[in-house]
Amino acid sequence: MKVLEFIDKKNIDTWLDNVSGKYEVFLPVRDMENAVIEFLNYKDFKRTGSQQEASGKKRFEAEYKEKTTMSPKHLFFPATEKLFDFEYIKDIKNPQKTGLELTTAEKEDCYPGKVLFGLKPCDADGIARLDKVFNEGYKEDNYYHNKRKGSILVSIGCKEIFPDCFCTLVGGNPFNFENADIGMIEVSHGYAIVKISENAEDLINFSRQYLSKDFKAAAIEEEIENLVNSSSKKIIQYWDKTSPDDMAAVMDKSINTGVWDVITSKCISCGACTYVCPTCFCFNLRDEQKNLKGQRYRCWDYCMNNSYTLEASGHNPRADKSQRYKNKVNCKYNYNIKRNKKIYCVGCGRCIEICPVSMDIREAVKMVITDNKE
Amino acid sequence: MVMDLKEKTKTESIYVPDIATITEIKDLTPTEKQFKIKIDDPVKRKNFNFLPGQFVELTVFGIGEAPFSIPSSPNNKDYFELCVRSIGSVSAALHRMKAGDKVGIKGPLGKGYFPYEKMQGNNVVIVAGGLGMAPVRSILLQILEDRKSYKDVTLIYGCVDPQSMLYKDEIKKLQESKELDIKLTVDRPDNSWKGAVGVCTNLIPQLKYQPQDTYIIVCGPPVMYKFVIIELEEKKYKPENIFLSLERRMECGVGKCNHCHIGNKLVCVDGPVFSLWEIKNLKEAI
Repeated sequence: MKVLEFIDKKNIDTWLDNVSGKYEVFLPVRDMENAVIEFLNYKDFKRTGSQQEASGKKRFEAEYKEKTTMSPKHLFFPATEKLFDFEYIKDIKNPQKTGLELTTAEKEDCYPGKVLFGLKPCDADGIARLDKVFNEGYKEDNYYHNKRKGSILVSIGCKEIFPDCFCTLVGGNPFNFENADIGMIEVSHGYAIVKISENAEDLINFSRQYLSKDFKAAAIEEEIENLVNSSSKKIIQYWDKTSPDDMAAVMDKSINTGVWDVITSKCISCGACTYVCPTCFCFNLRDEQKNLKGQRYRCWDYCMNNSYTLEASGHNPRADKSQRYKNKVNCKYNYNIKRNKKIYCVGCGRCIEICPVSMDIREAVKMVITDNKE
Repeated sequence: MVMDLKEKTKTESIYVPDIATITEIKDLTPTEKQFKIKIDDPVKRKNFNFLPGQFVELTVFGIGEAPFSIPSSPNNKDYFELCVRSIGSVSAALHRMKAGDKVGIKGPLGKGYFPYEKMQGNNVVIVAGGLGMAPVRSILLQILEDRKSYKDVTLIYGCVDPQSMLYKDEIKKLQESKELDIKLTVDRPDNSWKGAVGVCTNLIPQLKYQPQDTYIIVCGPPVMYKFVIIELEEKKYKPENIFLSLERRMECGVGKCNHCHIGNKLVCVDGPVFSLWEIKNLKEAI
C-alpha cells in the first residue's frame, strides 16, 4: 500500500478539534460508567472531558482498538426515527367534519456532514451495504439519504484481531478500505493515510496544516506490509474462501434439509444479533397519538421475532424458530447476494459476542457447508 | 459507495401517504365492508392509475398502516374501492370510521399485476377463495368492460358459507347475463343453497380448456394455493400462464423494510402477483 499522507500522533487531537468546527465528528469511545464502546460526538467528548478533569475521573476514553458494542449504523438509520407528524383538525362550526394535516420531519439542510473517525473497515463495509438498500434500491429513502449525504468515513485498519472476527471469510480483510473515504493505518509514531476518495479531498485540504510534510515513505510502507501480512493470518478459517455466488448456491441446496433444526436448537429468538448487526436493516412502522396530534415512527425490527411475518389473519409463513433462523442466515448469505450482489455479513462478529446462548453464525454456515458435502 | 457532498436535503418521502376521504361505506357481509375512497389532492387523484392486482397501503392515522388490494375497476379514474374484513387493528379501526373521515393512501403499489393485455384472445379462468374475491374483482371488471377481446371466461368462487359470499348481487346478475361461466361452491351450505358443496379445488377437474390458450388467475387463503396448483398441474396448464396473488405481512410497502420477502423477492415491489413459473423454485412461497 502506498502512503499518501502522514499524520503525527500528537497532532490527532488538534486535528479532530479543528475538523469538528466544520463537520459533525464522531469517534469511538469507551464509556467507563456503562461498560460499552460507542460512537460519540466529538463535542460531547470534549465537554465531558473538560468537566471531569477537575474530579480526576474520566468518563470517556477514545478507543481505536476494539470495535464498538453497537454497529455505527444508528448514525444514519436510528433505532427509532420519526417519519412525519399528523394532526386532526376540528372545525368548530362543523364538528362532524375533521380535517387532517401532515408535516414531514425533514427540514431543509438540517444535517451537517458527518465524519466518522476510527471506523473499522468492516463497519465501513456495513454502511456500504445499507447504502445499497436505502439509496439504490427501488426508490430512494430520503431519511437515510439526508443523514448519509456528505458524510466521510475515516477507517483505521485493524492491527489487533479478536476471536470473533471473521472478515476474511466473507470477502473483507482487516485493511480493506474499499468502502472507506479515508483509509488510515497506525504505525509506530503516527497514522499513515493510504486511501483518499474523491469525497474526502475537501477534508484533507482543509486539514493540510496538521499533516506531516516529510515522512519516510519507504520505511512506513515496509511496516504496513508486515502488519497486513500478519493480521489476516490470525483469523480462524472456518471454511475455505468461497465467492458470494458459490455461497448462495450452497445455501440454496440446503434449504430444505434438517440441518437447520440442529443449528437452531439453542436459539431463544431474542434478536440481539440483529440489533448489533451492521447490515441488518429491517424495520416496522408504528403510530403514536395523543389527543389530536400524533407521529409515525419507524423502529428496528428483527426477523427472529415470531410476529415478524404474522399476518392479521393468523397465518404465519415462518412460525417455527428454525425457519426463522434459516431465513436469517439465508438473508445474509443467499437472498441478498442475489438481490444486491454482496454477502450481507461483514464478519464483525458482534452477533457472536452478544448472543446470550453462544450461537455462532460461523458454526451455522460451516455446518451447512459440511452438510452439503456429505 | 461514493456520495456527492453537495447533494441537497430531500424532503419528499416515500413513506408519507396522501390524504384521502372515505366517500361511501357499504356492508357486503357481516364481517366485510366496502369503502369508496377518493384522494383529496386533484393532481394526485389524476395520477392514481392502477393495474388490476396492485394494492394500496391504507393508513388510519394513530393506528397504523396496512396493505389492501384494490377490487374496483382500473377504469374508474375518480375513486377506487376497498373491500376490508375487520380482522386486524387497522381494519377494525377502518370499520369504525364513517363517510367523510380522512385516511392516508400510499399507492398504487407493486409491479406484479394480472397481465390483462397478454390474456386477450385467450380463455381466462379465475379461481377465488373467500376474501380472495377482492383482488380478482378488478381483473374481472377489466375483462367484462372489454369482454369481446377474450374467449371463454370462467369464475370459480369458493366460500365458507353462503352468507360470507362477497358481491352476491353482482354475481347473480352476471349469472343471468351469461357473459361468463360462474361456478360457485361453499363448504357449509344452508337450506337455500343450490350450488356445489366443497372447496373450489374440486371444480378444477371439470375445466375443458386446453393449456395452450388458457390463462389462470388464483387468489385465496394460503392453504388453497397448494392444492389448486396440484390440480392445475395435473391438467397440464402452463406455469407461465398461471398467476397468483400472494400475501405477506408488509410494513412499508415500498421495498425497504424487508418484511414481505420470500427468498430474494419482495412481495410488495416484485409482486404481489407472480406467475407460478417465477415462484416455482422459491421456497416458502406457497
